[in-house]
Amino acid sequence: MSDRRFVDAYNRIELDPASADRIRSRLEQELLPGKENEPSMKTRKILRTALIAAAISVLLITSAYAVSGVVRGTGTHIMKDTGSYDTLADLPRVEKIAGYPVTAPEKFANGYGFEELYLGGEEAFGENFETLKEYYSVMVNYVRDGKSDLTLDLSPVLDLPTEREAPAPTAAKEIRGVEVRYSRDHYKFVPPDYEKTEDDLADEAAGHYYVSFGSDEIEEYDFSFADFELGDVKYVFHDQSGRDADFLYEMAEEVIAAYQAENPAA
Amino acid sequence: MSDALQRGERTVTDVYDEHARMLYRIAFTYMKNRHDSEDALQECFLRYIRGKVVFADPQHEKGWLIVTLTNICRDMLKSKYRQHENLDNHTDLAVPPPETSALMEAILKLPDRYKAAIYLYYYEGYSVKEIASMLRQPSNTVKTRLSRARKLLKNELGGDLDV
Repeated sequence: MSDRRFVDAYNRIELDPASADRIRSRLEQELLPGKENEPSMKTRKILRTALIAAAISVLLITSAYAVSGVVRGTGTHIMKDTGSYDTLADLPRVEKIAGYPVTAPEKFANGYGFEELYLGGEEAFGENFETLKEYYSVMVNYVRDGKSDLTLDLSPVLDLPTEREAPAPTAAKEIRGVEVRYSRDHYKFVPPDYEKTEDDLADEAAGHYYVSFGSDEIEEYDFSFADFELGDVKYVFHDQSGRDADFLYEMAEEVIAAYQAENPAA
Repeated sequence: MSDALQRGERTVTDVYDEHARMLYRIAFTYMKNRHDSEDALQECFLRYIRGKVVFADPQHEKGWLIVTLTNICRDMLKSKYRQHENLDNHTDLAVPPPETSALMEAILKLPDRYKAAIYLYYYEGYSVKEIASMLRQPSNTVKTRLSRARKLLKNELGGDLDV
């Protein structure tokens, strides 16, 4: 039974009707035909590493369209034992829950250091939104000079077919026998009434360029990624500062070297 | 209108209209200001739309929304703080807004992991078992969190709260 005192306390916290309407309009815009495959992201500066990386990951996978039995998309999934860890000393526990080994350096040669790790639940779903596979994902935040703009995401390699492949990488390099794929995506955040230019359309067609509706003003960002597989685990560096391939290749090499030192047979 | 709008018998905006106020209140207990709470609410529903999760029943859907919202709030808070900040004690986030009572001020000070359970138990009137099912947590975890939250609230309110 609810408690009157708590009811009174919470009832003072009211969603402003104008804000409620504004958000509803934003959601309706998101649901316009043809919009379901367009990325849409918040542009407020407070949304950092975890939120943006998660949104981009969803975008890359959900661009696959459905054929019976194949992955239509992935998303957050409620699972037990998820949570944050502020020390890598907890890595054995994380690995036990996740069910796969995690190689995450405490510090990289370029000065990026461990900040926090988040163990989350995800699911891959099919064309009828049925769960095809549920699994744990690991997101490791790294920080340098007070700037937390780099994450290393881990998830099990999904041995499920997708109808459409993710966009081809911008570049690739073999590092210690492992293929590391690099991409840089350009995001242009625009107001709801923005009309795409000829250049926008051409850049979208070329790939790795996204126009995202819903922000207050026009802002542009580059995000870069480097992904590779170690054993049955997929690793993805998400760099919110859009740095070049060599920068991420060097970090990938440190991870690969650490993994190979722990797994000489690999 | 896009098919993506339909979720069974209801539309996405139906779901939004049903749960927005609840989710906003929960977000407020994390973010402690209107602006960020509204941002979290919007992001929660954008993920609801993009995720296209199929729910077993309305309670599953409600639980999913609450868990997703709390994850968003924690991510937003993470971005606000430097490495050494303790996320469970971000009492310096804002001066308590004018709409808060003494009880709400005490609730705002609770560790984040207690807030969803406190809301569902004392405001919505759900049982421990129902809360555990909704939040996908063991019943004992919910019981423990409610118990600890009650003690903290009593301490904060100088023993005036009797729950």
